[in-house]
Amino acid sequence: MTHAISIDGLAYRAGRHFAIRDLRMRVPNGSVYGFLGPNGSGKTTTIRLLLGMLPPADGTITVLGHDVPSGAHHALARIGYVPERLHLYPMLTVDETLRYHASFYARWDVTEAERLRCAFDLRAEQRVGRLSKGEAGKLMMLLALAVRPELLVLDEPTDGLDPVVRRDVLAAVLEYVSTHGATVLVSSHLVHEQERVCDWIGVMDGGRLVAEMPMHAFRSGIKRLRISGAPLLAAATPFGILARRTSAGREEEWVVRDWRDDMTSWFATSDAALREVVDLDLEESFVETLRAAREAGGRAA
Amino acid sequence: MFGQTLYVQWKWNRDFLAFYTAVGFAAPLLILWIALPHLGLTSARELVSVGRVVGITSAVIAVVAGLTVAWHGYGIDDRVGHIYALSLPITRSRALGIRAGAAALILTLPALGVWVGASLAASQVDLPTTLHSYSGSLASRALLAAWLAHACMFALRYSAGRRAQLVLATLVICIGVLGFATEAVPSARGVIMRAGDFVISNPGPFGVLFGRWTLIDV
Repeated sequence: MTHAISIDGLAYRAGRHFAIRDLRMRVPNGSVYGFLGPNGSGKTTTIRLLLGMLPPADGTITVLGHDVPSGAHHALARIGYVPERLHLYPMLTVDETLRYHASFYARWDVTEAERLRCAFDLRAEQRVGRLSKGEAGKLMMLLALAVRPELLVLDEPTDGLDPVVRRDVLAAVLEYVSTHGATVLVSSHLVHEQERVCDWIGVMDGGRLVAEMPMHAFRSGIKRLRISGAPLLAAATPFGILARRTSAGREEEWVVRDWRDDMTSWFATSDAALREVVDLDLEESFVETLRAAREAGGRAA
Repeated sequence: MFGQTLYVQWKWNRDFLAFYTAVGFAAPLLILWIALPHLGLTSARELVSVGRVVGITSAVIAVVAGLTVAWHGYGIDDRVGHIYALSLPITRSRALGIRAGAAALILTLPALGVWVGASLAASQVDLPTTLHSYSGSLASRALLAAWLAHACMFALRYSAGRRAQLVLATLVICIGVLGFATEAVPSARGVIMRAGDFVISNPGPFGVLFGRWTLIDV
């Protein structure tokens, strides 16, 4: 098994306006996979589908070698999950929540749970319903980590948390991953946060996975090129063109993907002059990828 | 797992359970204390009537307790979108089984209240030799009624989810229409009455709710 999560031809419809169609996704074992996308793009729905919480209309989902949803409970025993909102019972105390959660997991690590509770400064007798947003986020992360998961599924785990709590939570995840070699699927629209921790990236938009690649390829492969004398038709490029805009005079600005330095020679053969190659940060790459996907989707429609 | 679920159910429902247990305990005593001064010591018929009032009150308490625990118990997951329950590593059928079992266990408390209250109430009365008190039977029956009511509401809530109110309203309307039909369509009366008798009489599915409920009887 080389992929912790493997999805093929996944389809799901929620209401009249949102659908996931023919989704293919691979999360390699041991990777930290950043699941990027704007709000409402289908990240949370995809996560709920792969955890067996929603029934797919079509397609196959395999998580840690188990078919989902039929074998979801086997997979869930090896997964630590942090949803985007507090999902715990508000009338229980922190200590009662730990005991309740532990009763469902054979892999529950009592020592680690207590260590994290102290590290996160959570009082055992405090009621879950009275926890601050930061404390609730830390408690959910504690529950996910103390089951010693092989796969961590984090849905917007730091959304709305202050920078200190965010750092604590991310540090706990990274420490766990470095110690145990677990796979992480982390969904977020906070692009810079993903840039720091992820080694794979998937970009979701409108229920489609519009890009999936190693982080280094995403970061280094997407460039902004300034070109003069650009050819009218650029069909046979060795790179993919995400966007093409006219700037001053006969100059054009192209946003391209799969770029390598040796591709500069292509411009000489096409009577165009490459003036500048500009590196994009992850957020710009993300925005350009989304824009290109939407334009392509619009054209297809 | 079951113990923890039981604890969570208890903590979530304990206010209602305490209320129904207290009412189940107090109702037989109060009814007899109110009724006794007005009864002749040898008035067997009046004692049986009072026993019936106690029995019917116990039935109502048991049914309402069962319905409340099922309706309210669903809310614990509904308010968090069922995300927690669905993310636990357990099959849905097993989760529902554990949840139903835990609820069945905590519903013994109101029945226990009825048993203790009814036993104390019965001990306050000098029964003629022809009459007997049935506090144990009454409590057992209250427990069965609470379980049945809970099971019906539990099935409705977990199968219909947020549409439960709609389904419930539809059921009430259907019963109303059938009641109207027995009057308006004489030819259908026999069929409807027979079906109704089957449902509410022993050994029909709801027989335990509609049979003779009494604390004092011959």
